[in-house]
Amino acid sequence: MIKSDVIVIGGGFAGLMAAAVSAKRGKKVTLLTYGSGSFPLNSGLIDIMARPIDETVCATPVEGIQALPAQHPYKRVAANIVEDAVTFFKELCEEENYPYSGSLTKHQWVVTALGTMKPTCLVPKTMLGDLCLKKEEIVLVGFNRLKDHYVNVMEENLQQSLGKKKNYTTVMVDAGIEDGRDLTALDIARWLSTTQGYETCIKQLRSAVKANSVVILPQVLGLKHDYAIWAQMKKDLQCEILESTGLPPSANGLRLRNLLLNYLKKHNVTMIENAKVIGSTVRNHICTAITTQAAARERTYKADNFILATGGFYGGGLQMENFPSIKETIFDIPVQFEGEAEEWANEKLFSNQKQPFAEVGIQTDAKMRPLDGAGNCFINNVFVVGRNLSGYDFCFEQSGNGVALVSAYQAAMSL
Amino acid sequence: MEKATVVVIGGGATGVGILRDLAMRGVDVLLLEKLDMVNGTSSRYHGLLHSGARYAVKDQEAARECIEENAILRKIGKSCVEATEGLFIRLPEDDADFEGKWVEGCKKSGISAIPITPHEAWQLEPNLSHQIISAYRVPDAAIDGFRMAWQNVDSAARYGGRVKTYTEVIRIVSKNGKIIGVDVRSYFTKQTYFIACEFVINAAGPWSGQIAALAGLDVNVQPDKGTLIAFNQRISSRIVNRLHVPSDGDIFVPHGSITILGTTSMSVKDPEDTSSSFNEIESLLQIGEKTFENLRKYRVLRAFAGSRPLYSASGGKGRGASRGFVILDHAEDGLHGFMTITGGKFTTYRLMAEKITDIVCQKLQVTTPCRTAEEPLMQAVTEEVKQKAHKYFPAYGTELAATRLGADRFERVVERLEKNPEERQLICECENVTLAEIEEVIKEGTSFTVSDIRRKTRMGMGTCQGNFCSLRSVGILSRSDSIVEKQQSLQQLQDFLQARWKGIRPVLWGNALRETEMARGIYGVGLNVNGGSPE
Repeated sequence: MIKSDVIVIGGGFAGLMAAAVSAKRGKKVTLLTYGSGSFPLNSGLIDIMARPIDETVCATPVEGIQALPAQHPYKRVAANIVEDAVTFFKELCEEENYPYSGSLTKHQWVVTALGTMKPTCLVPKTMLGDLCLKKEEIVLVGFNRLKDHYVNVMEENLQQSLGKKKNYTTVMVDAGIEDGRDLTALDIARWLSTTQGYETCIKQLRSAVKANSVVILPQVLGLKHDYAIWAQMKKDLQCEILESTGLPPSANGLRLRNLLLNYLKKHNVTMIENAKVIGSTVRNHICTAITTQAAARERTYKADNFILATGGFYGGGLQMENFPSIKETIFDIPVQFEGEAEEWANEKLFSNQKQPFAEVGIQTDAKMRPLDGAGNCFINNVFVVGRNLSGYDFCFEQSGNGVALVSAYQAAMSL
Repeated sequence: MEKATVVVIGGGATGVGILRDLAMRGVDVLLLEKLDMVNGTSSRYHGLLHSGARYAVKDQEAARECIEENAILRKIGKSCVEATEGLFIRLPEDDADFEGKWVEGCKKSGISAIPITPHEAWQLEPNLSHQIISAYRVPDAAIDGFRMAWQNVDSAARYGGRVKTYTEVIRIVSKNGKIIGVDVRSYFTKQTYFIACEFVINAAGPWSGQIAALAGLDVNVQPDKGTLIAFNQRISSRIVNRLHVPSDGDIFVPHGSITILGTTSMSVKDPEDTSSSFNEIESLLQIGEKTFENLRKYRVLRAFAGSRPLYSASGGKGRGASRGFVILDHAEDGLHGFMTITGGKFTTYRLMAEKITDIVCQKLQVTTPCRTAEEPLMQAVTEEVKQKAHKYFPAYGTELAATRLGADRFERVVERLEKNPEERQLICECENVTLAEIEEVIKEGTSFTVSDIRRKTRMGMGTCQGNFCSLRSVGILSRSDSIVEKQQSLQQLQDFLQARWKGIRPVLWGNALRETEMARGIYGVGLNVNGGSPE
């Protein structure tokens, strides 16, 4: 087996970004994936920072980062790293012809499937919700039999979040897909990718939508990472076209994933799918190899460096079989919860506080190398990125993909 | 002016039992419930249809009542009862002398307790502890509290029995020492109004002390909180009890695809307190893993708690207080037409209802005899309708829906599925709940919140605990025209997610933790459920 410069473990956003930055730096990269992380969940939006301390939304992402406590992952890296990581990501998307908008100095607001507005940082052109502020006519489009999207709920709540002065109308499109199965947004996206599907849809919209409106759809404007359907619809309806966030599976999450996989392929990253890493060989604080379990046999992969991007409790990188013992499954990096059982979770699921269980994870040095309980480097050539890091609450802060991006960038730059 | 001959307060098992009994005897009866039906004690327990064996030593009268009612409920409520049978097992730490007394007590109470060898017990239930010293088979069964109550309501409705939910009694009105009615308040509109009646029956379970106080009377009911754990699998096919003096955490009851372990016993001030702590759960698990050694390997779905109404004339507490029931005729306190029924247990709800209905009927000079023990709660769903349903329901969904909906409602749901393909959508994949079923339940006009729909359909009660169906059901409920008192959709969703969280928080490890991270990903990150706007 040929040895890699770096093995990245994990197929979520953090893993793919770590592989992309490493490859761009000319490293020989092997990416081992088992699943696709939270791409289907998070709409492919790059949240960076909206609520650093309490429920108040900070003025800008960059100011939010400045307000954070020292143990936060953003604070472990040099200030310019956050900026460099954002630049890297935006250039990468540009290169793949699916440019993202946004910057660290302004929140981007997207429309959610609930009709609330969500602050985020980097967004695809199909989700620039600020456009709603500039227009009077808002048209909410739903699809018959799409059980994950409710225009009535969106209308009710948009009246709160955007004000009642606007005109809201709702349109239901019939996709006429007759296979007896429940539809997801992905089915509609596939249908809209066909000429016949698109024509059928546009015909129904044309009769119901006035020019110069903002038309808000679920994420159905194709599965490919291009803006072809979006641009065509914009032109055909003479309207602003928006996609909202929604229940999984998210089309834009998958677009972003495909975009990144494409980039990795071009940069000669070796990708091995369905590779569940079950153990590692570590001597004198140096990892020499990791072991995967595929269908029938175990395999060993060697490298000079390893980037751990296996996620947290959702992704499976961290496991808690019983309270309070937490296990990092590959390198057995120590993870601890310091509080009492009753302090493990807040009384309210969504409140004005960060969830203690969400902030649990691996502590690292500035290079993203894991630390043991005494603050010493646990393994010198392993770098930890994404949700298995400690010190942040991806959900409360609205910072998940941002921490993934920045930590991945820092780890790859530390090689 | 609204009126009824008898007003029953409390939408739990006792209340619906009385509602049905009075209605079947031709009495004009109205049941008032301050929230939704079956939201208190009758759905917040382990769902065990007692054989009576648990009470065979301490209270043989209660034991006899249990075994008799057990046989009756199996007969009248077939689709609510899962005839699993039960095991009593003795472990080394359980008192050997108790076993003899227990065998004797079962015999005296008429409860069949068949001794089997530990080896036979392991053959029946391979997950059982290998420390068993002795084991017995008893006719315990599992019973669905939601379904049982709903079927009582449906049955009563066929005889003219009425129900008003979200209607709280705030005053008991009397004139010259005699009941003339009640003042009530609507939960949603806050509107108050008067309902005239001749009799008020206080069947408010752990709240019955508070109801009695509205009439200036003192009824000593101590709410006693019991916490339970729902596991995501069937750990055994049978109910498993420890053969010792009844204690915490010694009963496992399989229901459908889950198992419930219960319960604790703790005096609380307020029956609304249905919180459960990490420590309560830990102590339940520590006791439970004596019965099933691998208990911690099973996924915990959630924890829940409810309050038993323990009545004491003299102030006994917890398990020492009687589990038998009492009927208090407050004519003795100088208030005619007001009665309280309290204590007791789910298994004997029908008997309790019969006894108090006998007294009320005597006063009303109604001579029609009780027939609640003979007439089934609902008609069986015909094979023909089931055959039709098979076309639209996922494989095992037909049986589930048929039993939870009952004959009439099921037929209407199948008709919807047949006529309107749109409504075949599975809104809750975990529990196989279709849009047709949810629309049908909403149409009845008695569901105002997503939790109300959940109690009637089981939507959101499965493996994912509402991760996907929360948004869907809020969407469906809020677009419906059948409900006037609708709440704001965002508030509905927040309330529902928080209600699910309450039961997950004390068991937040393993897959429950994983699902929670997902729920936060969907509703917190993706949908910004806390709300927000650019300005």
